[in-house]
Amino acid sequence: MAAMIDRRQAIALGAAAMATPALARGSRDTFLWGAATAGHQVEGNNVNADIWLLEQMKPTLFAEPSGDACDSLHRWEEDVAIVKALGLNAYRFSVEWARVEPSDGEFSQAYLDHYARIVDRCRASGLAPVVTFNHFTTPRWFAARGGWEAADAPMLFARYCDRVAREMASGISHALTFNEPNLSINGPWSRFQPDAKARAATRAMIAAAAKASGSDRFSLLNGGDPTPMIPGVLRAHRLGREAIKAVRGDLPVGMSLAISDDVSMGGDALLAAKRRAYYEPFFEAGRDDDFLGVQTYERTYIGNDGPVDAPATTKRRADGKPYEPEAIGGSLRYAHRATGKPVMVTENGIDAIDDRDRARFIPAAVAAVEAARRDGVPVLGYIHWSLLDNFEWLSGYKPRYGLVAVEHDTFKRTVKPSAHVLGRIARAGGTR
Amino acid sequence: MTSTAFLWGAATAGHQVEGNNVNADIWLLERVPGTGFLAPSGDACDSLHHWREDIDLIRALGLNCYRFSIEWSRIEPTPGRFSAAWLDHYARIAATCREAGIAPVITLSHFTSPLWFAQAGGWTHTDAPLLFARYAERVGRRLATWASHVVTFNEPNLPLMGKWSATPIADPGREGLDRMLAAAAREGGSDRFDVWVYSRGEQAALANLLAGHRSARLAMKALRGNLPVGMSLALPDVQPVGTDAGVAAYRRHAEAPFFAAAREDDFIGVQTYGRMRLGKDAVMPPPHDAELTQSGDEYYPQALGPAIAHAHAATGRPVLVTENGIATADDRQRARYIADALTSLDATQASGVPVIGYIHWSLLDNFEWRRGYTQQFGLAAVDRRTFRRTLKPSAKLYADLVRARRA
Repeated sequence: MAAMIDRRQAIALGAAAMATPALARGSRDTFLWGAATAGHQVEGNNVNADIWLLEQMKPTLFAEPSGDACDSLHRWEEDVAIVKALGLNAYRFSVEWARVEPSDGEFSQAYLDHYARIVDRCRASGLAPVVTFNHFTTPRWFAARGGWEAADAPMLFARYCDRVAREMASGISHALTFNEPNLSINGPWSRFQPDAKARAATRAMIAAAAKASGSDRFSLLNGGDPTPMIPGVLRAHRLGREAIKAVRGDLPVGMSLAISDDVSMGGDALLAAKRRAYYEPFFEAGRDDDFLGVQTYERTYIGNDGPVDAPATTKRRADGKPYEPEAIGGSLRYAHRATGKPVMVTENGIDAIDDRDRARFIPAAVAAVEAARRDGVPVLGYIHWSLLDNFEWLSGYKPRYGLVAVEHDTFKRTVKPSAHVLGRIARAGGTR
Repeated sequence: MTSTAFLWGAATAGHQVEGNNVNADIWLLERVPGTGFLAPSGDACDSLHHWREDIDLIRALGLNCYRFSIEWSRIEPTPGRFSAAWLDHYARIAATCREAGIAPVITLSHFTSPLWFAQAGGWTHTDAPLLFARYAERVGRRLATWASHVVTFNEPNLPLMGKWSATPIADPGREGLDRMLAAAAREGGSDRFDVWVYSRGEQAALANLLAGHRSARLAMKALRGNLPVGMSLALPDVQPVGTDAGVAAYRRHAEAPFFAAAREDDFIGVQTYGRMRLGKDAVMPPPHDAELTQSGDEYYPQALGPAIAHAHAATGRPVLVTENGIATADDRQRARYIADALTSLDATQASGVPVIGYIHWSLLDNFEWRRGYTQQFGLAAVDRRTFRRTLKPSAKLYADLVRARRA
């Protein structure tokens, strides 16, 4: 339950979907410069997904429902064309399980075709498609039968992965099984603890969703006590990876984790405890992965008793929030050191109404990535979150993470200046 | 914008061809334990993504009209929240028709409703007319300029057709339908689940539905006064068997309320597949030597003319044949059927009955509700894995017959 109401969740759930996978077969050495989206956040009308239901419940913790989002369901060709026009070479997007398998065991060739067309269009445009198989949402039927707490949940996820892989693995550049599955257990490590009222509201929302589903066990990772779900998720990752690998053995597969740049402020023991609980079970599940996706939005300062405020010397934005674009460098170093894997920045970005903030952020963040590379960290790519201003989960449409603005109702896309900053870096192959 | 030329068309309906209509009441019915559906609709013909090919077929046949339906559950996925994205989708279809010189005949409700509407009691709910009118108004705002004709409801008289007698005839399917609806209510955590086409056709709900029809028509008319609006009725050619046949009772029950409402409309949509032979309290089976269709009904294409004449006489309205066709695995039988039906249509027109157009059911082999994919009504076959469309010889014959009549 913590995750559903945690502030990091409210922001990062919406903001946490960036990935950068590698290019086509034969061009593995190409550094990926990309932008990311996620199905539920941009497609719109994802009516068969668990989170769509939560958005409609009374009560709901969502500031507003996702509705049409960016209508990328119909406008995905424009999205791909924008990524291409910017001079990037990768596009990360996700496949919506709820569309591909609208009811238990019933797969939709029509929607598999839809996502395969996106993969094909990326390839035809010279873009590496980095594909997320699960970006927070699961089908309503899956949540209604107990979600990740059901004993056969990992097998069901693997069945879905197999079906998607058979359809499009040949075109995919990098596959991510899960997006930030660890975010659900971020609670103890967050400075923003839900109060009793917020916890009660979460329970009421989930109970309403259960009732609306005729279910006594409605369960989703970011909407309840995640503790009994995590073993299922970890097993699902392994089985999902094996299913994808069985279809195409040389397709790089990994998962993306929410990794803040954790800094000890006299809290070494607590930092070690956080790493044991929050990252290491996932590192262990990913031991046979080809790479690790790293998604970083901030630094976390850990004191003796728990997370503490950023030091007074920290640079801050106009609204007082810490401005730490170089955090991504620290998290990449840690992730590689802890796993020995190549790492890919699958998300990194900034919620900025004022696009100049983003335009400043991007070169600084990329410079931090480059510094880590110079120090020997194998980084496969940098994928910015997000291509589009989109539905940022609990926060609705208020946050602005996009390189591109999207007009409500007309869905008109307008490229922001910061997008060209990233595009120029990509074309030049770096900040220098 | 409204064409004065005779409309020659072919029809589809959203749930039957689009696929993945997951937010519709009938999608749920297809999947509940003990469902009466032979198969779930699934991807149907994937017209959601292949609709341009459907319009290409209409054009290739030289037709000038395409009837399709708007899925309410897509336009209003949750009560009161309308999807500009899906309105755009249907507007693209209508605009593409117009660009190809094809008149879009648009059905607002073709059997399916949103899940939330069924869970709230469907047409038994007193708010239903207002909700439907609000939906119609939103569709009208986006599509009225493109539409040639608007059909509010498709065959709303269907649930009354099995219950026309003073002593209700046995409905062997009733118990199964009730179980299916109850199961759907449980799945949605509601205490009711009402889907008009599978309901008992209760009078209070019928009154709501007809009020919804009127309100929707007024909403359309307010947006575009010259847009013709009507409803489509299931109108077999009803024939008495025996001296005490209950034809009058049948017509009072299953036709009269709708005809009364249609008298205020611009046209009456006629949907005829064959004849209905009525005894005192029962629908008689086909004669023992009758030629049958795939659905076990009598091959009786000459029903069309009398049904048209009857609908016109009862309403005074011009007639648009919004459906007419045959389920058959033998495409030569369809070819004969079309030729015979058009001969019947010719004769009726020659007698002075005003007919606006003829729209064949169906453009595609599609999801025929409880019978799943077992009934082939299509002028085109559809490969259910690749969604590839292939016109059948009967389609070419239909095109030839149309061309001859337009010449």
